[in-house]
Amino acid sequence: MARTVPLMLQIATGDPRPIVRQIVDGVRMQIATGGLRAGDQLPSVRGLAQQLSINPNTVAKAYAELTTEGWLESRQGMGLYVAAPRQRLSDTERERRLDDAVGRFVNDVIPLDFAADEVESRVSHALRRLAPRRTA
Amino acid sequence: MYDFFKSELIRFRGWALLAAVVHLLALAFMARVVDLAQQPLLVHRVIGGVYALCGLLLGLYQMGTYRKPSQWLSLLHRPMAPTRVAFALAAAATVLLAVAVALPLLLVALWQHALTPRVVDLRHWLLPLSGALIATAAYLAGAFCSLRGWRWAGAALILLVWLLVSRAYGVGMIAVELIVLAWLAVLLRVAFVADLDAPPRGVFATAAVALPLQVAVQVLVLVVLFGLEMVWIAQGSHPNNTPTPPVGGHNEVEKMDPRDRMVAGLRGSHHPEAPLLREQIRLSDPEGLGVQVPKLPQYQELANFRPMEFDDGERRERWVFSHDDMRLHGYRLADNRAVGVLGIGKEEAPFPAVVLPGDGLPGMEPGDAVLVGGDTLYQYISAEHRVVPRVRVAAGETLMGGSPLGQGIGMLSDRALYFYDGRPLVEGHALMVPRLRVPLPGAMGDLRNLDLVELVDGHLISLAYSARSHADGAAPVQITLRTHDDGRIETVHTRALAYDYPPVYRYRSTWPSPVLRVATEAARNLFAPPLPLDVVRPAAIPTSMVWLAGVLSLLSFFGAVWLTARSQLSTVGRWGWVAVCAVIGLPALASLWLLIPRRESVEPLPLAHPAAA
Amino acid sequence: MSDDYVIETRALTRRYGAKLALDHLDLAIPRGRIHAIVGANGAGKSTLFRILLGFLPPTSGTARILGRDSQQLRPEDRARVGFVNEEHTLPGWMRVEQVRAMQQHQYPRWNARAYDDVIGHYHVLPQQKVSQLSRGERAGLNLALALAQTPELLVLDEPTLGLDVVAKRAFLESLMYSNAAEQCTVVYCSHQMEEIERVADNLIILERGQLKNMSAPEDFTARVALWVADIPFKGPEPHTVPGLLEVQRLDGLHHYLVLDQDERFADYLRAQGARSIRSMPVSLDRAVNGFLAKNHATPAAA
Repeated sequence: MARTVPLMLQIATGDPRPIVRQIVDGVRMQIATGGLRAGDQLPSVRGLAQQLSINPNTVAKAYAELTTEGWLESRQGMGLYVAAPRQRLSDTERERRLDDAVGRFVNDVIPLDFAADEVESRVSHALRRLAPRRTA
Repeated sequence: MYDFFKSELIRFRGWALLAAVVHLLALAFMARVVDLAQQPLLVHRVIGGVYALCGLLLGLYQMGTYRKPSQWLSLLHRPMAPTRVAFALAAAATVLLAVAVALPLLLVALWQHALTPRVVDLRHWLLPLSGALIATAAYLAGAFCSLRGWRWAGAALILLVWLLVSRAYGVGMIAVELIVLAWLAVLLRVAFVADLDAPPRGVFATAAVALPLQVAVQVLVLVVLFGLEMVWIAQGSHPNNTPTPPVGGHNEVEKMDPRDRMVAGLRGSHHPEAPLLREQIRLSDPEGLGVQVPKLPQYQELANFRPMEFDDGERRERWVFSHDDMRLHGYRLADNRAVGVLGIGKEEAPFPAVVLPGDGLPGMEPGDAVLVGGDTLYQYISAEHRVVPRVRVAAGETLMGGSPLGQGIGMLSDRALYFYDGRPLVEGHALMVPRLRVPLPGAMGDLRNLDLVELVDGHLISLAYSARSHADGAAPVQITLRTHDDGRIETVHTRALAYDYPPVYRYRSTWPSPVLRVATEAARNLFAPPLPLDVVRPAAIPTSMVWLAGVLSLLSFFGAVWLTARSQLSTVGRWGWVAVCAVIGLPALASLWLLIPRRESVEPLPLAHPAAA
Repeated sequence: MSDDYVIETRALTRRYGAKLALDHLDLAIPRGRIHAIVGANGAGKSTLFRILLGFLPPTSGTARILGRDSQQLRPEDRARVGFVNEEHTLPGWMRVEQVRAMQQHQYPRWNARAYDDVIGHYHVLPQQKVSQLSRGERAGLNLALALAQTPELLVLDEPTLGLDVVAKRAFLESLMYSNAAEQCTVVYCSHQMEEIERVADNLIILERGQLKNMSAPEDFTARVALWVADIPFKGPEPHTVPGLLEVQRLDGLHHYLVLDQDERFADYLRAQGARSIRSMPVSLDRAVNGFLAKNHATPAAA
């Protein structure tokens, strides 16, 4: 039976990303890393709003976006749940997003002046650490 | 609304109780030492002024705390009509002032009535009410001034001044106080709106504020003119202050010594006996007769001009006149025991008019006293414990003063001069019959000097009517009368004096606004009895002053047309104001300027910014 | 039609001497949600509310609140609008309980539950004198009184100014999560972006008496971007840079904060001779401050 899973999110005001964006990114990260599993019930709009000390409408907007993108599904009268994992994005979209992420990563890392293999090995290490937590 | 009332009561209750206690202690202290009911007018005015000041400060402070924009918003932004809020606040202040002002007075009056033989008349019971009304009126004025600032303040302050200059007495004065209070309440109601800069709404509200404001402007004009008069004096050419007064004017006559004055009165006379009379004047010692009671006592007046009591030194008793039963009440000074009640004669009849103690008559025994009131002078005879009338003038006249004249005495009423022989004075206590009655040719209010010399066969009386010639009173004139022993009275000479002051100065209360002058005089005399000293026979207003007033009215008319053009008044409002300014004159124009704001112009839209929303 | 807007002004202008506090302001705030009004001091916020509540007349233009003309508000209209200001004016000599009782008698739709809900967050005893409360407690009391009125519109003018962190948080939470607040439209004025970001559904920017922006906060932030370019020599004159809000020269690099510029700004910079160009989004705080600072002098080169 599904019960409400605590959502360990932090939001920061003064961040270039709007709060809606931060919540959406945060939930997606939790789902991606296994913090939230399919079928988990998310906190109510008011509950999350109170937890984060923000306007409930903002949480509602974030939930709406996540539902539209397919990360969450709403069950009649019972709240929002994590949707079963399926590929939601088209291949081109996935490619594009991967390129974006890689581009950003490379931008950040170049000034640090590490050797390319060092950087690559770090990346593989990190991905491997995350991988076992993903359920089948 | 009750919550607001209670809230303000709680806010100031400590202060009110403290004030009441201090007030009571002060009154109690004074009451032990003097009879508070018999204090002269000045004391009453000073104490009344203190009450007014307390009320004024309360109003200024209370409204001052609410006046700030955020406080005002918090006070009025609620589902309660502003009138009700104002009423609650004012009602609370009224109660507080009643406790602080009226209650101690009432307690002292009760004590004085119950535990002392001192007289406490109805008029004294009215004093706590009067004090509370004065304090509350001043509170309303203070609140109004606090809310509306200097532009409107004159309207409220002039209403307080009305209390000061009113000529009403007793219950009439209470009535005036009630009217002033009601008017100030209307003013506060008009002022108490969300937008504290808004002009008054509606004809009634505008009139209620504008009218007193115009009177205030007129008073201000007088103050400014007074300042100019000071400059005139400093400059040295003011008729009252030149080293020698202008020749032929009334100032000159007023400043002469009596002998010269009487001689001057005959200047230019063609009477056959004139040279002889002048000789006699130079050889004699003129005597004068003046008004001794400038403010005649009135029935149930709240404050007497002088204490209505006298002491019988022989019996060590104090006798006080009571308005309630129009008789004298006495008590022993030693032990404050009541002695009795005295009326006129054996029947102890009530006095027909209020009496004041006067100066003594020649031939009185020690302990005797003189009482003057209405048309009669009474003598209190200590030895017999009796009051008898001694001098009575013609019915309808009022005794104004008296003085020994040669062997007898002279009595001055408001219409005639009476001569009495000296012998009946000292022989017995009968009513004296005048030897001669000389009707006075002018009005009492205009009489400035009365000098007379005794001739071989009568008297020569010189009258100078110039008391109000520096203002809008009678034309200054000197009249010389001669009485003969056989009862004939002839006018020897009438000498017209010159005005020392220009008409602009003399009529300065009138030319700014003749209409307001009439209105303010009517207001001052509201509920007031006509008094002899106020009876004047003013000279006709010179045409130059009429022209001046007319020109100023015209200026006011054009000024109003110009000022109202840039205001937000409706057409009716605009021409109503123009009409008022034309009729009332420059003070109305000033009130228009103070009350009605000009329409502000708005700049054209600035250029749109490139990054507009 | 006008009932859809809780606050509606048309060409509202208010003049103080030579200065225009409100300059032909056209503002229409729809019913519902929390609207934040942001502006520097002197932007006209206080003047706007004083006019809307009928305490100041406009120089020209109209102002309507809850469908009624501001200058003709009746007592029953005032019952529908709650107002909380930064000074939290309350009669200091009264007890909390007396103040509450007074408000309860005056407001027909008093909701005692809402009052208790909000005041419960603060350590306020009914018998305390108002003058003994701390500023934060007075703010909480004021909010409790305002929400218990069951207003249709609640206006708050810098209510958390001067409050400590704890009191501020308690205040905002009461405002956002109470049932009474959910049913009314809230207009919230503040300088503090941190609060605005948490609280606002709609961001209204006023500057020099004019409306400069009305949109969701993230929509506004999305319009502003920071471009950093390495331009040799002096670089273009500030008034020629399109959409410029703020320019700074730091360590030889030009930092341009621009509004409503897309990728073509990069082309523009390249045309100016920029060698390296980078852009990034900015926080709401920076965006709004940059927007408001636009009319002020740009700082001298560092």
